[in-house]
Amino acid sequence: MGTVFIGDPTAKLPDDLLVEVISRVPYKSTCCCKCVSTRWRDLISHPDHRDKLPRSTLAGFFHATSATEHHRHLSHGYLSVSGNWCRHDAALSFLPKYESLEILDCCNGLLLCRGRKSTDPKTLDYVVCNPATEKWVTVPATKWSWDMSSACLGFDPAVSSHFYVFELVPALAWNPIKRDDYSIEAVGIYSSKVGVWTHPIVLDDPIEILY
Amino acid sequence: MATREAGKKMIMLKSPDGMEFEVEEAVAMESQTIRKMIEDDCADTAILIPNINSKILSRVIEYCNKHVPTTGATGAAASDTVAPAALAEDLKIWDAEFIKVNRATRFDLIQAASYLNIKGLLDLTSQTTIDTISDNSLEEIRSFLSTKNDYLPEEEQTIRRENQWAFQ
Repeated sequence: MGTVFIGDPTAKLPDDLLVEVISRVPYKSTCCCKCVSTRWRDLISHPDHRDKLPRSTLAGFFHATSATEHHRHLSHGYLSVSGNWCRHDAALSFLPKYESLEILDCCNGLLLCRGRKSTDPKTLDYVVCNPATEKWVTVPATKWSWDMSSACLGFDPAVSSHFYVFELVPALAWNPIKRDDYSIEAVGIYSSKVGVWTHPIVLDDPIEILY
Repeated sequence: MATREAGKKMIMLKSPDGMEFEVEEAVAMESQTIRKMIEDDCADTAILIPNINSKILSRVIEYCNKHVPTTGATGAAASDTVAPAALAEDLKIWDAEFIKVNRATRFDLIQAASYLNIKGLLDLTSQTTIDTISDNSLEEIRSFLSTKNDYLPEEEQTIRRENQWAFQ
């Protein structure tokens, strides 16, 4: 202490104190701070500091808008409940082009979508995206994916930056009329860490899931 | 330190460079760390503050002296005659003057405030530092903090692109 400091005076601030300093700016400014140096970026991105640093106040709803005469397919809108300081691409146009795109689930800021390609033969992709950063990855469909009414997403940024996609495979092909009678015979789990689907749970007796 | 009126409990604070500061117990207890020591009876005659030199410690005591609550039996004169709002305004002006120090001193104060657990001082020192960050461009922040930009050019391009919206 008390000596002359050459170079970076923040270097002598321990990590927790630098985080203390950075925690006083709004979320938006922490994003600017990430660009200062690698140490700042790593501190701000570190899960240990998540509770201390301001978080994105980005909050809102993605919703489907009905197909109209001019727009044959479903499109999407976004309703913000946290102010509109962040430009948001409600149509998710940063995603690759699909004939139709359906939002199936969302979990802690990530969206799980299902996109149908009009290629021959028709193909299906799951797409997991973060609308705030406009980053996305595709998850390959399984042999069941065409029969699925929906799939679920599991993601907790405080635990891991990886996500899971779940397919609850119906015992019979999905029947919208018998909506309440939805029993599953297998659970498919895709882990973005491993990058493959696994079906660890094969059930002898289909179990019924009530929505 | 000036001699205090009788009846107030005094605490001796010692810096590692051998200076001794006699302060009122109430002033010393602005620091949660020292408060804990006093409450746990760990402070009989003097408390050695191991990692804060006399220059910084005297500034910290100056801050605590100013910020010690003036309500109650002690210092009744100040709070009785001045409206709380005016008092807060006065403190704000005083804080602004107090924090006009060079960077190295400010970072020492941040560390001292953190070690001694003085929330007000930690808020003041950190906020003053961060105000510079909020108002300036990246280059100005770096030059103000003398922080080296250690990104590789392509790395910086990527992180700038990812966070571009925050600069708008």
